Amino acid sequence: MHRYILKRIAMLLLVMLGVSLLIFFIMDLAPGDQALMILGEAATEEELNALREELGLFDPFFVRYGRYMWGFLQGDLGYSHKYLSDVLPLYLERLGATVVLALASALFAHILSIPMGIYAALHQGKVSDNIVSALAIVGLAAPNFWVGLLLIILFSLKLGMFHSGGFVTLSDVVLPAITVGTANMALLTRTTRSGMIDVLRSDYLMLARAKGVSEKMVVRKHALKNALIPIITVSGIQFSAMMGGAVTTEAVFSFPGIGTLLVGAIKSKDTVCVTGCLILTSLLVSVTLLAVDILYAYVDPRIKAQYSK
Amino acid sequence: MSIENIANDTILEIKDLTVHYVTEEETVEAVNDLSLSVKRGKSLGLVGETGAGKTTTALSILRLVPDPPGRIIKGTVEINGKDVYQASAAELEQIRGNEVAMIFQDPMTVLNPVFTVGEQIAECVEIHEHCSKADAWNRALEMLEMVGIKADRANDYPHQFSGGMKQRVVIAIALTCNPHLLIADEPTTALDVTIQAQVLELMKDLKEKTGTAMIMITHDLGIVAETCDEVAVMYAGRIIEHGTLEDVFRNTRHPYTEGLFNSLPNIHDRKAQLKPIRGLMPDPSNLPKGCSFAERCEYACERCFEERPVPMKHSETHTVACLRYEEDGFQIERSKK
Repeated sequence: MHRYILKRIAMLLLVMLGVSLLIFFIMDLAPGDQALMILGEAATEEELNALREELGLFDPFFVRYGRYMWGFLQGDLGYSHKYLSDVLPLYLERLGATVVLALASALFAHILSIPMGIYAALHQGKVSDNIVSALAIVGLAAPNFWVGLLLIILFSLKLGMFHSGGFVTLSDVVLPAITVGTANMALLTRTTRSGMIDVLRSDYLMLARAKGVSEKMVVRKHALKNALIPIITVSGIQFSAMMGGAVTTEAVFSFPGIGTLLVGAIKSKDTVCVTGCLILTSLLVSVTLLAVDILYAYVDPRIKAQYSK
Repeated sequence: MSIENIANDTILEIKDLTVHYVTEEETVEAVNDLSLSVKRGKSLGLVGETGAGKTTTALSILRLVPDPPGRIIKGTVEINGKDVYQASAAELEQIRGNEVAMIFQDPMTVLNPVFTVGEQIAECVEIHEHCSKADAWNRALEMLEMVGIKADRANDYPHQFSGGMKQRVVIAIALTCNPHLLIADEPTTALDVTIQAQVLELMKDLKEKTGTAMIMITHDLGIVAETCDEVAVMYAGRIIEHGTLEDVFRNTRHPYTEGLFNSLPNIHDRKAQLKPIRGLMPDPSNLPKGCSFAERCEYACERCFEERPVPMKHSETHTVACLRYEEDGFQIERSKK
């Protein structure tokens, strides 16, 4: 198991090498000129060239990449001229908000979807199952920004329960979390339902019942633990996607997450900031997915056995 | 427990049980008007080919027939005098695993893959004996040793065991609470022949040790001869012949039972052709009006296609459902082996 984790970490480093190379390459091709950004439109061509020389922008691609990654490993991701700050602290500041939002929306999605999915699976084909499935489809189909706007109209404009935007107190995360969480919840409900339906047909539940295990425990202990694998897969993907920020939701609530940071940087062609943010986000996504893989092993001993080989 | 049942020591009493699987397209008549009883310490072989309703009968004893589509149309199942279908959830949990335990057909799929075998045995103890986790665990270790698995494997998961070993674990789970009745639903069908013998031997040993009654469901007459006191032969959801081992094996009455014996390979004449029963069992969603075996029966007369035979006593212990025996002097010819 430990060997497996070490192997996965080694692979993660390789993946990060490839990803960073790709990101750096794409950003190199993308329009945007650091020198122009720093000096502004009024600068002359000589001044620009002098600055480009100073920044090393005329160096070959791999030299620039190597220099960047060397700095990256030491925590120096360059300076964002759009936000007038070093990229790393900028990113970390926004990351807090993004993680809070991701956790809150995951909490919202799981608390609702798992019981709903189990309930629907247990009442398969009945009216209640159809209602849950219909709700899930509506949740999946409803666009984020629209859900967000509706929530703002109801809870902040009409009822005045929450602020309509920003992130000052923890309660400000409630509406954005519901907004992002709705689609996640809908997908998770469907995953839980279908996972449970598969498991509910299995022979080992019959044996559990034949042993005298109560129906409640048959579902909660014997069935759920088996149905967890697809649930973890989906929630892992959802959570890692959240690490890149929720662009539309953040825009609706003017929520200071990674999404808005990145969009702002892209709009103003701040290549340094964009490169840094993208590489850090890929790193976070990879780490999250690795954590999910390790989590599998703790849920399903068969997977753990495979890992040990 | 009613007085009558203490008197005659009956553990299981099934009366007129009818179980159907009802879907929108069709109704499968899996078990029809089935009655049987099992006495303390005795073992009954329930024999029949695939689809005869053996497993449905077994599941209905513990009220495990999946609903939907399964429905108990009529009949009662009493365990130690308690009607299983009137029992509360708590009473039912008490019966399951404690009074009646079950061994399933396929050991590959009946163990929960995410719990260790020790946990799965101990769970049964915890539920029924209300003891501490540690005591339950120790009992699980004992049970593993009893079925011939080293106790240090208790922390292993089902996927780490072979088929035969898994069936041993299933047997351990079944016997851990000393049930009065053990239902073994084709316990060796999924195992290869060498392992079959081991598992049967183990079950026989344990049955003698614990004195539990048993219903052995199988299509293998050899297993019945080895392990059972009584035999009930099922065909298309009905018991068509029922008697002691002697009654059914030596004084075979029903043409279907005869056919089963004739279709066994003959060890003394290996070149002899098998004599299979011609035809197939009728579609259980479309059973014929008369005797369900008539179509395949070489003794069938016109009446057999019109009238459904009722079980008739031929002796104190031997019951046969065949109309031809109402005629004087009717006898089937059992081919000699």
